[in-house]
Amino acid sequence: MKKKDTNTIKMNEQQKKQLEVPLKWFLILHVSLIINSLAGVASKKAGQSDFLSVRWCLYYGLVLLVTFLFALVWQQVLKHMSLTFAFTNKPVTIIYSLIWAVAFFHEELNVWKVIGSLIILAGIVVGVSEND
Amino acid sequence: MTKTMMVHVLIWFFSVLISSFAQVMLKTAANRKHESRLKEYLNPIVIGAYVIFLVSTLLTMYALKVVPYSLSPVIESTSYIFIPVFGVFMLREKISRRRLLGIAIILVGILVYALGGMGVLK
Repeated sequence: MKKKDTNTIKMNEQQKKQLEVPLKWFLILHVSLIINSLAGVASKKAGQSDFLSVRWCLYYGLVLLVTFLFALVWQQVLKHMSLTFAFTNKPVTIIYSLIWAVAFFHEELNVWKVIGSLIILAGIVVGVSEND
Repeated sequence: MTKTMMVHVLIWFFSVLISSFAQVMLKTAANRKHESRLKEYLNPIVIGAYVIFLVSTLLTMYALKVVPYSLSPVIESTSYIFIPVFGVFMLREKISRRRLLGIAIILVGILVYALGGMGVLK
């Protein structure tokens, strides 16, 4: 078979699927990334508490628990997709963290952070779809 | 940039580099068949990867003694360069031009986000 024909077949195969992974695993990946971003919230809450106080122990325990949960899910996620696919989605945690910063800590939104987040989101949308 | 600052920034980059390598180890373990669900986690490669993550956090904390925290998104974002390089050369993963473009856009976004957060952009 000519090289050009092989390339055409490859391209057609790629066009049949929009995502590298089944939707179920794509959603599980994003749930795991949300869990990961929540570790940051618990970490900041711990940082705002007195060292070794009950409140600090509670939040630091939560950091460890959330990190442990993330590690459990992440290993299963990696079984179903390439590392580059998983990491193309990972920057979404920056956007989740921005949402948590406003929701939990009432931090003010900076216009450049919003623009940066939208560019990151656009990059993820471009990067995760497989059609070249 | 002072010499001390430069050394600490390099330590942070090294920390991101080894943590990216640990991700390759996790993926290598995930690609293998294991006897049980428990052994998917309790095997030398996964345990080794988490030891590296631990070392990486310690190095990052050491670097943070000198380097401002606001630089974190920029330095940590180098993992989005290390991972595709490791993915292609160590895991033999295929990476499309479209995905490379996506990663490039993400890096620009992180730069805008970080510089905006530091007040460099007005």
